[in-house]
Amino acid sequence: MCIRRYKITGWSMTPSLREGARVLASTIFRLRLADVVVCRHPVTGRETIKRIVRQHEDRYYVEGDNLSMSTDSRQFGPVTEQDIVAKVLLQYRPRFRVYL
Amino acid sequence: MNKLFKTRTAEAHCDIPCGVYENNTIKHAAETVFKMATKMHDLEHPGANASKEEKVAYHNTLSRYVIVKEEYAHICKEQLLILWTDYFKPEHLDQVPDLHDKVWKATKLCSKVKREGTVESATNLKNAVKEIADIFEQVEGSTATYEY
Repeated sequence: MCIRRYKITGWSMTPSLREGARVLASTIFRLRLADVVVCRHPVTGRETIKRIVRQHEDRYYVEGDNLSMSTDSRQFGPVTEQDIVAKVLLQYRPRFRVYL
Repeated sequence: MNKLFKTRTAEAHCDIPCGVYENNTIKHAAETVFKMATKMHDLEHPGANASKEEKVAYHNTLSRYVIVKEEYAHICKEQLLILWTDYFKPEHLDQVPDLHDKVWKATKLCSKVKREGTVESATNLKNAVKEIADIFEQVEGSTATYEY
């Protein structure tokens, strides 16, 4: 499936994406500056959401929008296109449900 | 639909367990808070008959002291909590059984010094922070894990 749903945990992307926000992301993408992407964390290997702020050849520098609460390329360096697993397309609100 | 589009988690954290801990920041922050409280206390009020410029200068200076005090009291609290939650381990409690109480009281003092801004509360904070910094050194076995 080329479209994935993600739930955001943590505060490094505020105010654009708050804790608990839901987004749709595509695994087929063409990367541009300022794109919000889901990439593999080079240290932990977990899927992390950041914004592309700089590109140098095939390396992408990613940072959180909330710099004071983000661990990103400033610490772990640039990521390659192979590390980027999806590009965020849009944010959506989950349907409100009532459980009885 | 939910099964088809399983929701994954994308982390937006800043919690790499880097293992770098030190006690300089809390000491520096507590010292700054103390200095600001002292300066606030020593600042002469211009009096009711002072000129407008003197009153503005007084309020400007006082506001600057308060801003720095608030900022460093918050830094102190944050750094104390980082040491408490990330650095100190259960085995440290064997060496310092009342560690939780000491850290809890020190963080409370950070809030108190924000609220009151008195030299007395700033002195208490400085002493409490010194105590925790000493505990850190005791369990760490060195003055700091890295040098500036």
